[in-house]
Amino acid sequence: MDEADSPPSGGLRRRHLPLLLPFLWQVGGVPWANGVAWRPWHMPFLLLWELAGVVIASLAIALVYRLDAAAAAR
Amino acid sequence: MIAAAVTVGVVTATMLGTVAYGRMQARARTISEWAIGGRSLGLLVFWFLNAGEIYTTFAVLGISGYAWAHGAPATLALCSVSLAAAIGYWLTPRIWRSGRASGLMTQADFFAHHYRSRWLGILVALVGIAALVIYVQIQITALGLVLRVTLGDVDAATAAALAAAAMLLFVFFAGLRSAAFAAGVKDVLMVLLVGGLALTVAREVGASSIADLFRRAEALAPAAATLPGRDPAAGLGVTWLMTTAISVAVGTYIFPHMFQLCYAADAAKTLRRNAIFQPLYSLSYLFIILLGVAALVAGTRPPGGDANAVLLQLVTDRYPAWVTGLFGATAALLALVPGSVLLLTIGTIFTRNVVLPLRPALDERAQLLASRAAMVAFAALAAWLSVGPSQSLVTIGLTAYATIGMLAPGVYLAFLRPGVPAVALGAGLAVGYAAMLLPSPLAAWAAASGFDLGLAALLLNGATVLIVDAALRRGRAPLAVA
Repeated sequence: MDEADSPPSGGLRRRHLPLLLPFLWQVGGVPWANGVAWRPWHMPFLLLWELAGVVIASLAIALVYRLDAAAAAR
Repeated sequence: MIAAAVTVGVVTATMLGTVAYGRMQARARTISEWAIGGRSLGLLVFWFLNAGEIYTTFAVLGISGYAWAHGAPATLALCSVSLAAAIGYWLTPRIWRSGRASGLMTQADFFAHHYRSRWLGILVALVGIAALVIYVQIQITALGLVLRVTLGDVDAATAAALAAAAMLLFVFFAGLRSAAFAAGVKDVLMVLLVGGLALTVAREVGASSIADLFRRAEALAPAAATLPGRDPAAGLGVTWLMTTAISVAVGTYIFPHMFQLCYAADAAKTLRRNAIFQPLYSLSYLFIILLGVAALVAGTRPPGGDANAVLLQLVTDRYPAWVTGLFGATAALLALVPGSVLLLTIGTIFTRNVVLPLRPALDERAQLLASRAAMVAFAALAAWLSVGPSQSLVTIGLTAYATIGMLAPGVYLAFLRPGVPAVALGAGLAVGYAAMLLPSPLAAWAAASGFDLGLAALLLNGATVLIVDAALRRGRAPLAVA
């Protein structure tokens, strides 16, 4: 059931860890990505890095959604 | 002339369609139906409404202007939605559930109820209204800009007054549920139009492909491809991007209208699934950045060097009049729809959390009236604020995020640490706003390092809350034993 897995005061669970991934990629990766001189299709690498980060974020959130659903089913 | 006619025609048609849609949907005209859609918005409507809140003029006109004026710092847009969604996935269902369990309608309700404190509720309402007025100011600035570019001879004050009036009309005849219709029209228009422009813009400005466009841009402005961009003195370096991205992510759902939007969802599941798909929508920011880069290559000169106007100017210079008109209409809706939702939120908060605690006997009709009067007053205030020296929409937006972000400890701790007293949050707010607004070594350090001042002040705020909370707990513990 949807309601059972996160009570109102329920804090962070281990299965929420993938939610940190977008931060590691899109924030933590900035110092490195900004220094990469490679220009695929002449585009700044940082721009492509952050675009990839958007997709990574969706995938990470989808993964947590699956983990939440599995935990709720148990 | 054609451009102006198309702009006015499309905006009017959308507004009429919205009102008709609202009439069809109309049920009980109560304040709760009007303001939070009767807590019954499904995933599709909710997704459009949420996207409508994220695709504001801040993003479209502001970010294209940033890409044109600075370059790489515009990638902030690509971090803003995805990081907010990662937090929102965890946070928004909790906000929703507490709202449903206790019949809450606004963020100030949440604070007053959770922390059992009437003064905290009123304080939070006032902070929320302040941040929202800044946000409405952005929409009015942008709508005024569209009016001036498409209609020509309009001075800034008249444009601002017209913009505020249009927003109020929209709110009075619509309400939240019908705003979803206009948000849908605007989002479809925006994605089609911006996509179409992005695909054709390379040729229009004389480049052979999008890759060639970026090659030319880097040849013209080599510094634009990496942080800190073309103007190192602006302080938009690596530290700026990292800390500002976090500040925006933390603040997004703390905005009263976003917070209140969580209450409008029909189920917690709607909010979770929305969080999965929301980031993907932000991929279209690539088009926005591309258009800013194209304006750089085209040598676009916006009126008065105003970066906010660069995209409107590029389209006016390089495209046929009907495209300019359609773009003007889309940009106008982009300001109108979120602007009207913001005003709606201001009205609700003012009535429930400032007027009602003073006059608890008001019936629903009188509440609706008070709500509308407040919207007129605050729209006028925002219009007045928008007439002044032109600032980047991104700068104004980040000010709004810093202002509202100060409420974050109270929201996050409500779900992470039971029993935090209201006075600890009050102390945190006082320290945080002092650190942000008063000249101090912290402000000087932030300016020098590029560290987002709002985030630095927020960290101090959060630390203060935890310290006061811990001190009070220690003080209480022996009493509890005795």
